[in-house]
Amino acid sequence: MLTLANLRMNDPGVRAKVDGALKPLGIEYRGTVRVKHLLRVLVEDIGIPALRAKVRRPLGGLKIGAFYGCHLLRPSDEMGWESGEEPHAFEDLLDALGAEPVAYRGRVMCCGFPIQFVKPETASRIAGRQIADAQDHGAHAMATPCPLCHISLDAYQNEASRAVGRPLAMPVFHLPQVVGLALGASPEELGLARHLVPTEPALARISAPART
Amino acid sequence: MAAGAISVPLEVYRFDPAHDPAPRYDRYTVELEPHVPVLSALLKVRAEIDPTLTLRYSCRSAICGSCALQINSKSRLACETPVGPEIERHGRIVVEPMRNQPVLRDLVVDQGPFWHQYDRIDPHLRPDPAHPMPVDAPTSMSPEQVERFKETPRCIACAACFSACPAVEADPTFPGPMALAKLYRFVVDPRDGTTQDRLVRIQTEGLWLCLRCHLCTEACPKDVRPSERIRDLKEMAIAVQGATERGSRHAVGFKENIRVAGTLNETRLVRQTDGVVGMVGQLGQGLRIWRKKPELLHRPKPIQGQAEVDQIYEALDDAKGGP
Repeated sequence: MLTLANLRMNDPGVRAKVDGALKPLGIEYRGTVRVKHLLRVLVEDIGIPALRAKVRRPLGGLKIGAFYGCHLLRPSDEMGWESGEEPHAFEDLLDALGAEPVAYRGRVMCCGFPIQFVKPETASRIAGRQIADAQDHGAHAMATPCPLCHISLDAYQNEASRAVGRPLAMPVFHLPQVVGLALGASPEELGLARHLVPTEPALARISAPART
Repeated sequence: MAAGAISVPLEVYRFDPAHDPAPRYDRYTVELEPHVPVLSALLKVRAEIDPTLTLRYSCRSAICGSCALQINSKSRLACETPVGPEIERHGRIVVEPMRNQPVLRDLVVDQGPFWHQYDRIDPHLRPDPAHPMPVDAPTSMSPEQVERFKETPRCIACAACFSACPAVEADPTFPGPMALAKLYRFVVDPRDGTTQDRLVRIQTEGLWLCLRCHLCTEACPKDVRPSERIRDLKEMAIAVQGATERGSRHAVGFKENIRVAGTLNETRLVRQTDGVVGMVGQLGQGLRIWRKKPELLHRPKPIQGQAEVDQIYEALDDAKGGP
């Protein structure tokens, strides 16, 4: 969203409006602050080989469904990095952490959150479809770089399960949590106890030995 | 094999609802140069391997909008999607009918649901009866007026957006990206006399079910950018009617909410959207979340510089000519 806001600053009308609001406070904004998501920083600035070298507790044995979140990718011509429908950065990252990324259609779909407060049953049906899709493709857990997707997939998973009429038991990690786990941080440090869906079953899947 | 040709393995959805118990995928391999479109690959299969393969197409030039399909899960025009990049990325090409419309046979769908949604919200020119359009002279528009809807007339009604849309998939009351983009076109058309009515009506006819996922904009072969036109409709609807629906209350509530402390008070936002009564309905859910995330119960402290945030809001509201 901040990337798109920057792009809108190229419109002279928008810029005049922003100038008008900021000038009385003695502030100026030209839309030049570079916006870059953590996933992009990890993959592009730190890089897959450097990350791989830092892994202390490889996530081997753990099948993870990457769930990108719409606004990280689309509109892809404006976001200007990954394909809007066939990205691979997150899977590359999971692979570097030792986890096994799962291929499923829902990974680039919407989580339903934007209409959670408009029509909860539809929002939950959408969330439920993506979780069920990951589950059907063998995922032990999902991981998302988007905190709103996390609310929809984790905090509202009960509702999602009811909406699609089938049991769902899918731990959902935040992006920094999977990175943290592989780099050796403890579940306590990562706040895993604050999830609504317990993450222990996913942690129990990790079979690779820790490196020292 | 022709010079430069590559081997193109296809997996094609086959289903005749009248005879087949379930759909199946038939595999064919054809030799084609990488720039050749998927449609040509399918026509080659039909001409040389299986004459029963059923598909819909006409112009082969991305004008008629007949050949939209799912190509490796993406909703695309088969006539302008080359085989080369698909093979490079996936090693094969899975071809399926469009989503969200029932399959008649193989790759041909019944577009009924798509056109039903279109008709339902009336995206046609409705001049103001008080100012009828001249019958014997052209109606002129300024370049600035045309600029406001320059994208939408490009639409060829191929339904790729309808196929790609997760809101269409999950809720039959959502009109879909194309219908809303077309509606936008007549809302900003200076010849239309029903702009206000349209904006009021669409608020309860599904406008707020758009997820802002931009999958339609990604799928659209003509860069109509339906998701952005839907955003414009939402802004205009709020300007005309204020925050009357859950969707608009949430949007306006968000804006007002940040003004208070310079940061989001999530519990307050739920109240602004749902009202106190609506909140009681979500109490069970709320308790489960609050137990794990108790900080949500605390009113956030105003950020440093909150007064400046307030000033910025005031300046922007003044610029609009009112709160």
